Amino acid sequence: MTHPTGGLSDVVHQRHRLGILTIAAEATRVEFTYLKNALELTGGNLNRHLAVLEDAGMVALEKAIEGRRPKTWVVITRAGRGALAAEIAALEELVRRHRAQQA
Amino acid sequence: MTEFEPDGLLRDVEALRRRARSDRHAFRLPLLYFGAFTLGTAPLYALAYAAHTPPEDGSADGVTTGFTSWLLARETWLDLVWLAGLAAGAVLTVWWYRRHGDSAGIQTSARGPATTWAVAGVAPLIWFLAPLVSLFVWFLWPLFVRNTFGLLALAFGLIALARTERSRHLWIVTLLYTAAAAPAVVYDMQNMYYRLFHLFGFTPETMPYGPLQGSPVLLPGLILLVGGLAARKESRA
Repeated sequence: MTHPTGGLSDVVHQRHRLGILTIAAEATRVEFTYLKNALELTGGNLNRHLAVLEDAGMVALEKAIEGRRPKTWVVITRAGRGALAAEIAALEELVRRHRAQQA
Repeated sequence: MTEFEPDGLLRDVEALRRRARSDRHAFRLPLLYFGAFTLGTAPLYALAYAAHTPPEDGSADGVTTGFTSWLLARETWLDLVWLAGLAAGAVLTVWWYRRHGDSAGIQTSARGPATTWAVAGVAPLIWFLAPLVSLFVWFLWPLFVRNTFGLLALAFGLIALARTERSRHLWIVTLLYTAAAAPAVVYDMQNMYYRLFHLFGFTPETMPYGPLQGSPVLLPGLILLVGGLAARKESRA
């Protein structure tokens, strides 16, 4: 049986990227500013994390002009949902093993 | 003792999930609208009852003629009212969720529940719109004979909305509503109210039969209204 760390993805395991996927998975789409505030990130930092996730095919970015303001909406892809589910499962398995060892 | 990292990550994930879920919830307005609409249909059932009750002076019923008579005779108009109310509610819900999503920055699509309301609302009209199809679903007639199928159509859409929203509050309201609405679709709930009124001294001669015809929709409507009022007001919508 493989160790649960094998289920951790370098792309998803980073705390903020995990947060982006978690929020995006809860909604049809989520706006850039919402993510920035929820994750307490600067715009530049969030952009970098989004670029990593977009390159990995885990999120898609939709740019739109609403009113006079440009908005960027983030949509999680099927691959993103799969990766998030695998990450959560791996983390839960790690916690379970850790608790079993402590007991 | 330092915290085990996966434990902290999972806790963060859960907190973010809860916050996102709470921020995107926008079911208060649909609950209030459908609650008010459901209660608003109560007088219409009394009207339909009155249209079938011969005048006490024994004269012929001269109020209904032509198309009106056709509609009243079949009480199809009640199904049409429900369809119009459900369709309006579907449009309102989609618009509201879009507006709320734009302003909150986190969007939920209400297309699934809206489609359910519109499609289920048409179901009672199948007997007139597609008589051939109705031959294959004749066994469903008990659901349509009381012209209260709209209550069930509304429940289907609410279930779809509760699944989309993943809200415990909405699930509780939906289940209570469905539990109150389903008997009103398959049973003459007026009988319960007749018995209740009888306990308070009403006799068959003094029983307010007309107004009580709307009683089946009262409890489901009230549940939605109270559920809507008790729901947290969307802060940024």
